[in-house]
Amino acid sequence: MNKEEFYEFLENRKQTVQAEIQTLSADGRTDEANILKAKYNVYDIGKAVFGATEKQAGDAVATAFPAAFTKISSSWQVSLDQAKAHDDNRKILIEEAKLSAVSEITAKFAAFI
Amino acid sequence: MTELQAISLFKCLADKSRIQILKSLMEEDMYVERLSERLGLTPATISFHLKKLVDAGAVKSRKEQYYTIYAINGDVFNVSILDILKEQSEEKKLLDERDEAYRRKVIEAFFEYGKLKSIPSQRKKELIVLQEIAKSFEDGREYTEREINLIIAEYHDDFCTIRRDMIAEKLLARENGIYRKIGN
Repeated sequence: MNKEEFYEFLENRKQTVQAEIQTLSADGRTDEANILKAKYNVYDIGKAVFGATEKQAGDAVATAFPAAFTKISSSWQVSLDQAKAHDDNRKILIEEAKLSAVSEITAKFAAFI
Repeated sequence: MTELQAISLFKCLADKSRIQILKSLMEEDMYVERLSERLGLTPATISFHLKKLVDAGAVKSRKEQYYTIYAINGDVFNVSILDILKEQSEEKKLLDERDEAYRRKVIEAFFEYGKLKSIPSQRKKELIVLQEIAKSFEDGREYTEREINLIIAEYHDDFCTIRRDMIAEKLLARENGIYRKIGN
């Protein structure tokens, strides 16, 4: 897999989401902008996890990264389920935003390997 | 509406999506999916905003078969902003208490046994002193200059300065040589 390309993808998505946040803020949709910031952070988490697993696992990063990333993001799914059970609309939006970034990242990573 | 309720309402309204929801509800009562289609936002986003609007009292909800229908809460929007601003707040009470404490401090510092020790040089303090002296004048009663001077002289020998300053501070009014107390 092309490591640089994956980093570039993460960075590009981060920039795109950042632009969306700025557009929402400029449009007076502050709450939606703040919720999207949670998604923005996930790309940095993706970078950090990829960097760490690559160092540790070396060539086995193809299996180590999805495992490590899923381990982290699985708690977000639990959090989303709890939010739904308690009708916590803000939490639902935050967790859904984070999990949408997770889906993007895992799908892209699968395409690379 | 209490001050806290007003703050919560104004904060809630400071969002374009919520204003768009309210505009839609001005046209007719709607449920989440209808608002979602109309405004191009996900049902989850609409629910999030509606919860905030309901909590702030801007929107009411009712159940109709399987749907929860949302409607504008007219009572909240019919309240004038001026009426909200006229509401006495805890902060205002605190400021009033501080002002009164300051006033008492100035009076204690400048009066001794009912006499004015000296005329304060600071305008703010002098005004407090003059207001205190003005309490000796009856509301609505007309006074000659001599009567005014005698009353002020009970407090301080320099009755001319005090009399002139009371007019300048609009505590006394003078017309054709007759004086009258202004306000309370």
